[in-house]
Amino acid sequence: MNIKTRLEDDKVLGISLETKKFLNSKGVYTIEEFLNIEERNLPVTRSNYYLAMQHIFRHAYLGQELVYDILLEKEYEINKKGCDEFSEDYLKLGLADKLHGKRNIARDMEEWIQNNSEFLTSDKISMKVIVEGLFDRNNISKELYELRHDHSDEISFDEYKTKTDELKKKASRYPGIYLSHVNILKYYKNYINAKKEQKEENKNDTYTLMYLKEQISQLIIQRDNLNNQIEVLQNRVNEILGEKKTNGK
Amino acid sequence: MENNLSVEQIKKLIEQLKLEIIDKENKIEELLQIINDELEEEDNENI
Repeated sequence: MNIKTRLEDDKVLGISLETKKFLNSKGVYTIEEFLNIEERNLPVTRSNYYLAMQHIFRHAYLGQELVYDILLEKEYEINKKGCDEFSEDYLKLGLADKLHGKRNIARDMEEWIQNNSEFLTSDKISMKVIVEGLFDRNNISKELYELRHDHSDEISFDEYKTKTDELKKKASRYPGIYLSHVNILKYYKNYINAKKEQKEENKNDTYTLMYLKEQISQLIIQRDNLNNQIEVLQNRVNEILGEKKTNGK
Repeated sequence: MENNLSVEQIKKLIEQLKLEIIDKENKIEELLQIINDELEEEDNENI
């Protein structure tokens, strides 16, 4: 895939018009330019969504390791502490905008656990399972939508009602966690599927070692770039707080 | 350095780097939030 692809031509996530407009306003027109944008240029209320997109594009366009896959592999205790931790990672994955609030996500999760305790077979649940559940729920929602907008008169009202009730019942078994970005959810779902198909092998051949070495170099570049950004921002914060102190606020 | 490590050890190192990246992103978001809040406060005082 070509990193010089224009945002509107992206097939990996299918960037929305709103996101494209925002990025264009920052002088960003291609995937490559988007990967080089600094975090301070991202909107504070949904920076998590843009960061998740960057990680996905690095994986899809550059063949780099998906940094957030460690979050997809993570497991959470089925209690308040686990739900709080889950909500933080859920936002980090860019599935909902930060603006929506951690507490709201944790509440959705708590509610689902409470209503479906009979289906939970362990005292822990993984992000992977939640992502798969959300994907299935999203498909059911689509079916429901199509049913509601089916004006073909091919089904009677009773049939419609039975089908709707069945679908609603089916959907309630899957987590009803607030979701803003279905495109990101789909990417994670495909990633999880692809990983399942891969055989877990620890080959010590030259090719594998070279590949892993290259991944390390790329991750180190990413980390160092973040360190530089932290330094700049920390200086800015010190400056602001210093000025505040000087002005006696 | 990596030449002396096994695949398993390199994978652990990769995992550690991913965690470091996530931590650093969180730190950046925290700093951006502080800057944003301070600027908003300043704007409100100027109204």
